[in-house]
Amino acid sequence: MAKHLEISFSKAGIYTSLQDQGRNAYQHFGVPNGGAMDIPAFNRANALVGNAADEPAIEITLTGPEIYFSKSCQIAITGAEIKAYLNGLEIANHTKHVIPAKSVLTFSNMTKGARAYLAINGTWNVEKWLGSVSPVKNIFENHIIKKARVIKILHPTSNPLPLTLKSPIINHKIRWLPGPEYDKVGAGKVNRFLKQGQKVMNDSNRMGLRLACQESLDTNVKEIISSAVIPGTIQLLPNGQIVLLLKDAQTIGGYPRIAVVYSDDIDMLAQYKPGDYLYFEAKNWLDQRGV
Amino acid sequence: MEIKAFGDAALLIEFKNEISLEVHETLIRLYVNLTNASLDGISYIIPAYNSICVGYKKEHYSFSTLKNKIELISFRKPLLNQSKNKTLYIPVCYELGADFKEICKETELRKETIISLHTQKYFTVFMQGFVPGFAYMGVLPEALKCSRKTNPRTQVAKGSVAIAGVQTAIYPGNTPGGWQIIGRTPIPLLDSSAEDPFLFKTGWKVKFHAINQDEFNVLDRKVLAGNFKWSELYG
Repeated sequence: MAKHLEISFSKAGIYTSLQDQGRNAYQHFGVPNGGAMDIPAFNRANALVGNAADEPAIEITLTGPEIYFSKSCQIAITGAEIKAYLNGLEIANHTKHVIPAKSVLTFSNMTKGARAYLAINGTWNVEKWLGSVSPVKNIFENHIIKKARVIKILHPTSNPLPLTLKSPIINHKIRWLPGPEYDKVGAGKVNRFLKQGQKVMNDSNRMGLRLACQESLDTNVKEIISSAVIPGTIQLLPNGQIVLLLKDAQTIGGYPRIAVVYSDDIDMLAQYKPGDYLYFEAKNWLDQRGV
Repeated sequence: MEIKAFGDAALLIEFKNEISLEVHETLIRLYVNLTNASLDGISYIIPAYNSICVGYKKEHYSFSTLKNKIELISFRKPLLNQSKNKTLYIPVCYELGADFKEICKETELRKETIISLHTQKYFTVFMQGFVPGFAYMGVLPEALKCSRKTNPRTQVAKGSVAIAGVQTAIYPGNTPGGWQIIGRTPIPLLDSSAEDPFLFKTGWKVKFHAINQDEFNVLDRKVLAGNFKWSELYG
């Protein structure tokens, strides 16, 4: 019998992909950062099953896949709250499970959040591009999971010791800082605009959250000379609404960057889904701290 | 030069608010010096037309300590190692240009004139973005200036050479695209297996030359057979 584990997908889910820590040194060639959208949740999943932090895990968006496991192994599900069933019986999130060979893992909808992580113990035998498995649109789409995909995982172990890692409850407004065009567009205008509740729109994805609110931000600063954008950048679109750039965003943009999300709050944006409301702090992070 | 915070883990070095070779050359000098300095705790450096974004680890720097450090580096004499800054000579089959009709109409130039304007000048790689390996090159002669397509293509063939405004670029993969296509090169811009996987480097010079369909096919076969090396393009 083969030593390695094979997992095969009989259903893919809306957007299931392999992720890791991403790429952080190729932005000057136009390569997005990529990587897990919620790094703390991703890290907890790998830690639960005893994997190194750079081992890939499966990122599940809104609806889960259906996966067959050829061998016994350890798995863990973290991030969003999603109902998971092993051979038809519900299993808990945020804890390690040792599962028997020939198991089937299924999911029903997420009850909270938008992205969950499924880690599986072992060495993943998967192709990387520039040191990462994270898919890059049009260039490296190997690990956007499709139905019937099979992945080999070497040396899976089944350590029976139980382990649970509580998911911290994050429930605060998004902290932000002035962006490079904050003053150009007008501090007062930006502050007033960001105070409104922002609705997450359907066309949000790993590249960014498209947001809409009641009043648009009117300015004559519609475009800038193309310049760098980074995850967390809040770009003002010509229609007066904003897009909040995330891990798969382009590296260069031509819209005014009115604000930037505080770096510690970026991963928590992974858990917003279309229809949710997002609230920014009334004051920017510097003013809040009186800097 | 002005250094601004760009969130709490990046800063932005801004130069004169224009797209010009002069501004870009100043910027590239600092970019090369910054890269050569290999400072600890720097995550990424993204140069563009008139700005450089520097991402840093918060454990290593505050905005003001890194700002001071960069200001000191900016006073350094250019360490620009000329041997590192190459010129690339890129073959283009203009017979495969799909948008000459539109461009001729807008620029009121003949196809031959457009090709000669595109091949007679050395262009500079200003920045890379949009998709990995997509290099924004310029400055095109003013006469060649044309608008983007009103309806962008959902799929542009890999290697398509295109123009828009006063810029030119090559599509590195099959991607959507809105620029006007004037030709195609068989040269690959990405080599995933290479240690240095991108052909273009920001700041390098590029010169195009015309090849016919037969020459394109020969070169294309050579590339497919794995017998082509990027070093053949260096001047």
